[in-house]
Amino acid sequence: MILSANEISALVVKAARGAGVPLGCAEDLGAAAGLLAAWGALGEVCLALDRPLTRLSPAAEMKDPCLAIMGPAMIDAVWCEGQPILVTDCENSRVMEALVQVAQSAGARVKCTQCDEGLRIEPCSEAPQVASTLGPFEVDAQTLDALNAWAAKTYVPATEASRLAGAGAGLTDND
Amino acid sequence: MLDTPPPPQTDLRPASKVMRLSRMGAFFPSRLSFLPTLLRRLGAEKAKLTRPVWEMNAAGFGHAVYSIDLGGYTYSLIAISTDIPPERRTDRVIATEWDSAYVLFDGVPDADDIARIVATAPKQEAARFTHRELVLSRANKSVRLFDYVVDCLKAGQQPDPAQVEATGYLMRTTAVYGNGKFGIADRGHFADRPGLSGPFMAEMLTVWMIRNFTHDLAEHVGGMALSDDIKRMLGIGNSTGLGMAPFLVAHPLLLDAWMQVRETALARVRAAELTPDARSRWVALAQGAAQHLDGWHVADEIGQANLETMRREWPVVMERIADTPSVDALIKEADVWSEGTQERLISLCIDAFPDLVDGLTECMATPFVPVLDPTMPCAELAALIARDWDWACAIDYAQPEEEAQFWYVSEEKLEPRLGNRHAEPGGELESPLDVARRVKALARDLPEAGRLGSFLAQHPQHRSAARRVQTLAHHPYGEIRDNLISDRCLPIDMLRCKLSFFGASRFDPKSDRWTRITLARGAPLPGELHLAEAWHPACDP
Repeated sequence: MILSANEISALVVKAARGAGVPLGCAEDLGAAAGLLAAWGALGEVCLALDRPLTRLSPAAEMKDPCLAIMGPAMIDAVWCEGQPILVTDCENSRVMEALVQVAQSAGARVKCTQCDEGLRIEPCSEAPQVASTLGPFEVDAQTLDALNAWAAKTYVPATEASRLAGAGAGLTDND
Repeated sequence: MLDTPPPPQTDLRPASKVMRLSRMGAFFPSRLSFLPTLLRRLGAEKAKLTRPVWEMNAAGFGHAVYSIDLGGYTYSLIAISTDIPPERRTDRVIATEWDSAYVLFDGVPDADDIARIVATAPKQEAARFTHRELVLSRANKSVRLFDYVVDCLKAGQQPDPAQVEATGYLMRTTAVYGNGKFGIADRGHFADRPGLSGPFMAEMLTVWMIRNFTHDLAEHVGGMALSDDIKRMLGIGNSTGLGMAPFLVAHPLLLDAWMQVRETALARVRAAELTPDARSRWVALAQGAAQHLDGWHVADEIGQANLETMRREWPVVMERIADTPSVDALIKEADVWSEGTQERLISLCIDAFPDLVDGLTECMATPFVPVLDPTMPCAELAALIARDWDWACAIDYAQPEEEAQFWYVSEEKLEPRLGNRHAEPGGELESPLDVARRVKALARDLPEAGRLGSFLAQHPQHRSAARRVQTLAHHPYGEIRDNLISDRCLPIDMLRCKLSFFGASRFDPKSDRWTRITLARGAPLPGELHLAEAWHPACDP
């Protein structure tokens, strides 16, 4: 299905929240979603939501190991401390790259490079080239279904009472 | 072009005063609002609205295409009128059929484009669209007025102005979608185009063109032309519910931009000399506002009470406008009046000094989004919270009334709703509009030492709140400074604030969470865009 960049971003934020990712991390992932869609890598978001990262060097002290939560934290750490972090089991390298680009647009002098050992997040001195993420983008059905399934966990089933009161207007409101 | 310094201005009203829900819910439109800004642009460009396609049967069902040039680009409205059973007509988002459907198309549609859109637009959210479609909308007929107007025309008569005045529109939109919804174009596709770069300009262009379609449709079915006076009285209605409310929370930089423009305009006007010409304009606007007040009645008790208060206060306001030594002096006095009267007065002040304020509309849009700086020391963030979020941290969210409501997205139609936490299920799935509560929770956990990045690595649940604190530090009008989950939160205040920036008038609240409004009522007709300079939506007749 063809989706706009805004639709993709909004869906990814909801999907991340549905997967239990804290709001701020979900927002970061949503901001990265356009890049991932442009790269044809939106499917990696699903992995980032529930696949744990177990091999980090230096060893992670973070509480929760999924990339959606650890990714922003790792970028922050490199930005603040100036020391690189190596991720050796990252199947979601493009998610990490996209998160790094989002951080770069916020002023982070951080870059992400693939090396023999894995994915290295490290400081950099050059100003970033932030790519455009103007849609529309093709999203495969499997990815869309997975994201929608996660997002659906944030929806509240309707009741007759909520239909009448929750949105305001009655069921018939002609003038 | 000369490099002229900006005009003098007073201090802006503080965000602590302006960004309160009750005041935001008392806003009125002004010439800075998006629709008047658009129409002035169209007028300046001498834009011509054409109608290259009119495929309607005698009963008024079929489709039409209108085109107009703006900023060097052509945009077309494709309008589809559908015969639906009256019992299927509803304004709720859960509706599946509408009297009419619309698309704003980028360019001039060919026959294939038209055929595709005629087939898909009536399905609205159930269909998918392309990036050639910029805006998607639908509208229902006013049951009260549409048939009456058509019947008058069929009888060879113009409708009674009082009847027209009572409703003010032939159709009302129930959604106007932009920015990528359902596959239509992301805003970025046209955000740098002259004329459409301002917020919601594509949506405003669509609504204005829809208005013209409704006139043409009534004339076609009625078999006679409506007078220009009657057509001017007919805007486009809108039923606005909770769907619009979360926008103000989701876009703090945009909200800050709008408010800064409005407050800067006021600050410039307050510092300006009150010349006889300016006073004369101001007096005329106040008289127009008085007439507007006289004809404005709503069923909602709170809304009607507010109007009664304004009607009592307005004669005094008019006396003071006539003899105050300066705008600033009157604004300082105005605190004795209700917020509705104060904000009405402010809109008129802005409208009375077009040369001082019109250029500010260029600052309504912003390309920026909130960002997080993890290098900030925690102590610095704590200081920002103490300075900017005292109102949030003073609330005890454990009190039932302070967490009485929860915002959520309904599974049924994916629309925003507001629930009673103490009486309905679903609170655990609430949407994150509880900003104040989140910031207080952040403040509670924030250490005295160390950097924000390290703290957030151990407390990722505070990331969003930290970003909002940093954002507010530089964009003071970016937050609604009220608890949006308390029992005191009236979503209608959020709706009215946003709608005032659109240029909506005739607010007619039906409850605390939805309202009818009218857009483009009194606005120039297509042949009168040169008069857009003089249109004041807050004073429509």
